Amino acid sequence: MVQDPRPISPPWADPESLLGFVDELRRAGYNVGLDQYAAAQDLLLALVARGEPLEAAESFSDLLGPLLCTSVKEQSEFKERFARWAARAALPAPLLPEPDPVVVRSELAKEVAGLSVLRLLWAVGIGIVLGPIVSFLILFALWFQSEGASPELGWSLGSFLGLLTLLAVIILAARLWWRRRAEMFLARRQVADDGISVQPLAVRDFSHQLFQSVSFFRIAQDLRRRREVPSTELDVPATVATTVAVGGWLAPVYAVRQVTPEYLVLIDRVGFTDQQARLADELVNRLAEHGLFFTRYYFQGDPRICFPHEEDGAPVRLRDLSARHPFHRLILITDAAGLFSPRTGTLAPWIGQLTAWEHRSLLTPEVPEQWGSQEADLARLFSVFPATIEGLASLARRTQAGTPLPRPAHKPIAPYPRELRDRTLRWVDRNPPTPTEIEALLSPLRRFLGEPGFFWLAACAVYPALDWGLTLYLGEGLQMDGAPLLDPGRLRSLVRTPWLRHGFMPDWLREKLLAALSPDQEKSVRTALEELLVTSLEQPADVFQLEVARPDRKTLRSLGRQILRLRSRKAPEESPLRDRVFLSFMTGGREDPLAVRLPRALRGLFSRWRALGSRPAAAAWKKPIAEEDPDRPGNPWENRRQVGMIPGFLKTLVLFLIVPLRAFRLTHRHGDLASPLYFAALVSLLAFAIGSLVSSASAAALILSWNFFAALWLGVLHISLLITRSLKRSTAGLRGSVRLVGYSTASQLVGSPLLLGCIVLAVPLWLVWLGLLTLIGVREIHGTSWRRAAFVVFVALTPLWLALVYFFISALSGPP
Amino acid sequence: MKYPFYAGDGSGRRLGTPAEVPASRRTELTRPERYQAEPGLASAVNVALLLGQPLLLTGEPGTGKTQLAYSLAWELGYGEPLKFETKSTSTARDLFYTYDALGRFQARESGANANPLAYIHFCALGKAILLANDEAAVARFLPPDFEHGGRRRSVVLIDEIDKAPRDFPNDILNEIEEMYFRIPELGNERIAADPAMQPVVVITSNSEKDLPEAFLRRCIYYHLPFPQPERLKEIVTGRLGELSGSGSDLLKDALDLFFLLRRDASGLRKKPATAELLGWLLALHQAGDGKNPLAGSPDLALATLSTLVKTTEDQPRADQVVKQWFKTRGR
Repeated sequence: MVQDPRPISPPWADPESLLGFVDELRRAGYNVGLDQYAAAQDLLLALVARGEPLEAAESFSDLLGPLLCTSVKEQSEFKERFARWAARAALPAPLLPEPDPVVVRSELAKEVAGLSVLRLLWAVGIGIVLGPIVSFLILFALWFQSEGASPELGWSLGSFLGLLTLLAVIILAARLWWRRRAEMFLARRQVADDGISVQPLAVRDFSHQLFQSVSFFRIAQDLRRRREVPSTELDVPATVATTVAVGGWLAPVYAVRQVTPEYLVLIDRVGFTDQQARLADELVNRLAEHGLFFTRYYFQGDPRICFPHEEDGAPVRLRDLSARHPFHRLILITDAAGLFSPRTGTLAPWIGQLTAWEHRSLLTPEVPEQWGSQEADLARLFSVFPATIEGLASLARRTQAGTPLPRPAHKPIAPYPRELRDRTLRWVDRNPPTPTEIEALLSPLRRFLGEPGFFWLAACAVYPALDWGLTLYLGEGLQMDGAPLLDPGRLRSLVRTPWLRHGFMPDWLREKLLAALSPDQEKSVRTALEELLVTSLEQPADVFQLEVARPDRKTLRSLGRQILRLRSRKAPEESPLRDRVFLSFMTGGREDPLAVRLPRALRGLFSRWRALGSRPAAAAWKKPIAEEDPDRPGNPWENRRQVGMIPGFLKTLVLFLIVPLRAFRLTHRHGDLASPLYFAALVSLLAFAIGSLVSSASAAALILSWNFFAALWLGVLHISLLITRSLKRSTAGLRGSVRLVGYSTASQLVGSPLLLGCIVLAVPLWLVWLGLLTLIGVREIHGTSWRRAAFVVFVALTPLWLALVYFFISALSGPP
Repeated sequence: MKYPFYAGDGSGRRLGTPAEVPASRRTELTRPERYQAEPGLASAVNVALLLGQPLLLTGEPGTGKTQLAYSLAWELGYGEPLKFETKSTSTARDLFYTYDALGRFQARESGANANPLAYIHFCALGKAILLANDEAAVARFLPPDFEHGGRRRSVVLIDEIDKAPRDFPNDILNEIEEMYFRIPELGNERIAADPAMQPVVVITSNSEKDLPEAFLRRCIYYHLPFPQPERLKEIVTGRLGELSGSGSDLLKDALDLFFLLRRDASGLRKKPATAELLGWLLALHQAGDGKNPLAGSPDLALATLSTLVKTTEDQPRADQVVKQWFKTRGR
């Protein structure tokens, strides 16, 4: 690379560029105001005016940090932020030297060499797929002409195949195009391969929407209202008046001082991921934005030991707090379980420590309709209010009036489920409870949360990590009956559930909740998450959302799918993006596809059958998540990441050709759909290549044409399975049938060598082998008996045989 | 260890002549010329001086926040800093002046001097603003006992601002930024500092309370982290000179034990800081009589531990740590 002789000034020496950095800090949450912008420029100018060298980034960062930081955390991370920004902003384009053609060529060569083998194979594969299809169409048309088949038949078949080809090409091109866009997008956002973790949840902050009402503003006003305290200053007029009144004897009267009340808030928090505590935090934050002064501490059940707001702060005893903030107004936000002795059920003996404060209030998540003896006991020591806007309003009025006010009216709601209250930890256990217990939980839970709240909880279950930002994002993005789910009251109920308090939801519950989503709900959740994946990749998320996400949601959805694919492939094993339930949901799949993904047309068909008393298809439709098949390690193709792509393909092909029973016994019943479909495509290409070598391309193309009818065959086979009531014991459902058909295409290779001179023999042989593979597949994938499998294959193949016989007869004996 | 000055044993013995007690060496600890600011802190000070903004220092108690103001004033040749000690009842006015209304009222009643100037006492920032002007320009505001001594710049130290009520920082925002104040008792005239002589304001906080964001934005902020062992060694050597015992094992042993006590595992609620370490080293030096008092038995260390650990709750825990340290080292 040719070195530029011109000196390159550092980016921080440019005032405009420096302001960009200040912008970045502001977006990252730094307490930066207009003053800081001006001060940063002033500092720069002052340094330049004094002739100070600006080249050393670290020195400049040392000077800039104290100007822009206002907390320990900001100070500790400032240097790194500055270094990152400086590296990004360094060497602006106009200062770069002119490109040297030699250098460009060598760099281009490096780029080309850097292309992975897989990508080259992919490119070759596309050529191989497109080439035969086009050749096939041409040969097919020529064959018809040479054989003298009716032109109408030739034309209609050609048109049909042409349309199919066009469709395939469009789908392929669209996918490649979106993939390319996703890759470019990821490159622009500088997402490192190894940097993928829970971080994608840089969600736009919706929390400010929680407490926005006029009443909230009034509450803040009431809570902020100054109070009078005695002062050491003399009230001169009052002193004069009093002195005169007592006959001239000095009678000093001291003035009162008005001070803004300060609040000490103690929040009950199970852990850092406790979303009920986060809701309380947001409440405090919003009030602080309205000018209230808070000192915040957290405790875990028992407030005798409190933890400061800063994560690395040392714990403080309640006694010390009372000495440190004696004149604060105390507010406890807790369900108060920890304030009672677990042994006697009465108030804990140490509760008197809390009476050190004159003004004491307690905000409880329990709604007043469900208050009982606990709240009555607490009311002797605290002013007890529900942790709602109404409760806060009562607290504010009580603070002003000095007397308790009547309780605000509340809508009656279902009680907090006893199951959750009594056995909280049981429901966050990874081991599932019994199905009866789960059912006993879900009904009261649904009643407690209401339909919108239950939908919200199910939506939260999709992503493997529970996150406050994501909860709010889903609440804001999802709707029910035309209204967004995000509602303070609903959120309060939602975050009270043990999963959102502990920040963890076990897979068994996630699967149950996902199964409860309707197709429309499922679609809206998926869309919301796809949008999130795109918009949350990097900071600054705000800007990106404003500029891109809003105008074109459709584009984002398509981009989101590709990005999910790319990122989930690159993500480490433990990443949430590799989570089975999440990926399955986002790719539109389910453990049991019948649970939700059945096409609308077939669904209607099933419901008619059910009405006729046939197989209870609805049971299969509603059937929950299928069991895992841990006894099946997957065939080599399904394990191609470990064994390699080509060895995996060849081993699987050999298995299905030589020992199909073993091959199907290895194959997953419930796996992805991509593996069998890719396998089928590769087998077809191989069959075509072999066929072309040993026979004519036109004959080989006939074999290849089978792939166009594979979807039809799938439909025929699956309907045969349903008609013959062979899916009683199956857990694989339609997905299993797709996998079965995909792997059965190995049969094409049986036919291809035999094409040598005898096409009439080759096709039936291929069909026989296809029947054999299908027979074994039906038994192994759907778990039927041999006899039933044979029956299913017979039923499925009969129309195909008839259609083929008819086709050959009519084509070969065509018009003279 | 011998404590030769006082026995307190009820024996009735008394010295015939007044005893000579050695001069306290604690002044060594506060000598501003020996203060060593870490590079980040020095940068923050320079930015504050360049931009004329107040410097806000946070950090554990005993990390040298207050001492920085003395060091700054000494190095810039501004004389002693004008210190304002914040109290939980402090108001914005207290930072500038106090007015004895009762005294004046009483004086008026008794026919004594009732000139309001005699009842005004200027505090740190008020005094600094007056000193930033020519004496003639502010003569009408000066109480009879006020020594002006000529126009000059001062360092104002507002110590532990987090002790004040939350209104306090907000109430002084404008005054600190524009360096002015008014005295209603003297006609409410505006008294402003000459911009060329604007006082340098250093504010310290122990972070017991959050300060208002608007206030934070107007300050140059620096958090003094607790120094690492090597840095602490430099600080101690710089502050105490030969008293630190840098040539012997005393400093090494003392730092070893000191950091052991600061660890979370020690269970101390109030961890000792730099100031306590310096005091302890002085005590050890005096008690050691030229030898390393941490070399033998733990007696000396335990006897002087109260300079390091200052709460009754922490004392037994600290004793345990010290004994354990001696035991481990003895093996």
